[in-house]
Amino acid sequence: MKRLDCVIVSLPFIEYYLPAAAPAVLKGHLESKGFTVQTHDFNISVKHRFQNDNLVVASSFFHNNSDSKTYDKSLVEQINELVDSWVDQLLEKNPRFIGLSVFSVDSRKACELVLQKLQERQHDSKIFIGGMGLEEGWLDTIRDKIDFYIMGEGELACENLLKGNFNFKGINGKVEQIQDLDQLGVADYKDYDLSLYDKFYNDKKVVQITGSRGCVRNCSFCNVNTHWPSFTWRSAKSIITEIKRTYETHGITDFFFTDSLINGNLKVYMQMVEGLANYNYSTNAKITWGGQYIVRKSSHLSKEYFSLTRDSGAYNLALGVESGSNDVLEHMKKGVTREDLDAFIENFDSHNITCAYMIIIGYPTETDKNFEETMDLLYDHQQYVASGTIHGVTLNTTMSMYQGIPLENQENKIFIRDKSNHNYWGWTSTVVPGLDWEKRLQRRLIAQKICDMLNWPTISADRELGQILKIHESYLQWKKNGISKNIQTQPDLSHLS
Amino acid sequence: MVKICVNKHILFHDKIIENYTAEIPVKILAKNQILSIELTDKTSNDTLIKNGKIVEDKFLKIRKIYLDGINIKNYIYTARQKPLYHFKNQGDKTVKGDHLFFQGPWKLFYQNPPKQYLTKIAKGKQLIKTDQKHLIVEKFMSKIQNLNVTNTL
Repeated sequence: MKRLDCVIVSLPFIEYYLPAAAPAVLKGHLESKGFTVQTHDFNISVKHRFQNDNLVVASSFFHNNSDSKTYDKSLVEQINELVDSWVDQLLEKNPRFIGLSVFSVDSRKACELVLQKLQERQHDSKIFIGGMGLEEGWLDTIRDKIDFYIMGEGELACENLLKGNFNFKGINGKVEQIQDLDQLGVADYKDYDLSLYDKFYNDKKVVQITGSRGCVRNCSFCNVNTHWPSFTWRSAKSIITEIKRTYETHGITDFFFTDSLINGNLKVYMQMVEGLANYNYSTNAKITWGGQYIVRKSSHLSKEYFSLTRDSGAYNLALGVESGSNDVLEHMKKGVTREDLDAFIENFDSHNITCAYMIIIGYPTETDKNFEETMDLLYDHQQYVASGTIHGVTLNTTMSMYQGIPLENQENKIFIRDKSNHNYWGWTSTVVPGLDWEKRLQRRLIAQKICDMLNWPTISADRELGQILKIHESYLQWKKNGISKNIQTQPDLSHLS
Repeated sequence: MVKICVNKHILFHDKIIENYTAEIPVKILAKNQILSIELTDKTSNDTLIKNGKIVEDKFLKIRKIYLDGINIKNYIYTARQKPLYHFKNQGDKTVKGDHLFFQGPWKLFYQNPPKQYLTKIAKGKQLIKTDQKHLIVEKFMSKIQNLNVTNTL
């Protein structure tokens, strides 16, 4: 019997709303090239295992830099057993290759645990890892446990890896960005049990689809452009064909775009919404789609923009609103203002297009006044929650200084890291006096209270606050132990005098 | 003729031809409020039928209702009308929708202040924001605040 070519798995932590796209995307492409591939979503198995008991805490265990010592011993044992079961599943089919998808820094811990256990077991499968969570410094800590790594888009690199072309550019290095997305195979989710995921969208099964990679903007807090330096897209025709085929073969009507932004290329976007709207008019499909979306200046949009967006089935679009302060938005290089958002949401409201907001609290230039402007936004746009246009807001875990974000170039200029365990969250602004982790935490709690008071649904707040609690416990421990005595935790303000 | 009332207080009663926008201040402070809209002068003579088809009719279509500036485009369908039909068993006892073809008040319930009431209704429909999740949020909020207090002491 021919040996299975590859098993590809996603690792926690990723939100539980949707099936992880990477393994399905790779499976679709590799199988289109004649390989046999099986996928597993180990992330959702965490939800499945702990959903009746301590899910939030169990999830936070996998977050980057979480300190295992602060977790209950029995929980750690249960997680250990779960990881053992993952390794059993990986080795069960004796694949030629095992691929671990490290979606973000929050999948690194799970990856390390799996690699450690794989090293302790007898097998001859080759192990490769990939995903946005990869970074040279971290790779150095696990290099002895892997055979290959792929940084960047994985389709062509994986295809060549399975063919044995180990010198292909991108295997054990950085992949060249794929320019023609239409040449790739279509994502395949058939190994997943789609009923396990949180009902994020509506009470239906949702599958993911990719229309573009990269971003047309270069916001200071986002590392998308590090992974995809240029913005590439599929043709509208190719996207519509995939949606129609999925509907006609599986009866699935709801789609979620993995794109950093769906409306990046306006020409392709308008072709797509027009095509989907026509499909909805001419059939009873009632296709809906959602995903990340950028606010655009309404004056730059055609008069059919909003009506076609509605008729094509736009639903619950995730808007990176970030802040209610024009000063902060300008520093972020968002390219839009609060007034642009006001006009945009009014158009959504009048055209029955639904959305959710994403907000970043504690940007390094965010003053108390700027924060209040963001809270004003919550008050002012409460009317759209009331009308059903806004489905909720993600308040996040406050501003984190991830690797690869443009703001990193301004370290020591507008912020300094405080060397705590949680160095993505542990930083102090040098331009806004007193804006440190404790201040940001205080603002996050205020924002939560305001949202609760105004009945804004706060998406993922349970998981975020669980993570914040763990960060804060660790921060207080670090502070108590006096590690901070020898380093600067408050900004040097001498230049202001 | 169209009559608009809140809690039986008549706030508007006038003839409406084609499109009409009425802006009506409501100074009733009661918590529970019922907005009612009614055609008051429709008779069977207003409906002309030729060859079994309605060729002329008098009816009211509610295009939009704003309550305190909120477009209640979805909530509007929670309203109900008990039509006073022209003939017995002409239709359902209670109907919902945004068209009034017969006399009989179209009634919409809401509470004061509308913004808080409507956001609560909208929140209750969320699949991703359940009461169970809210309890977890409150638990973690409280734990974080306790940590801060302990740390300050």
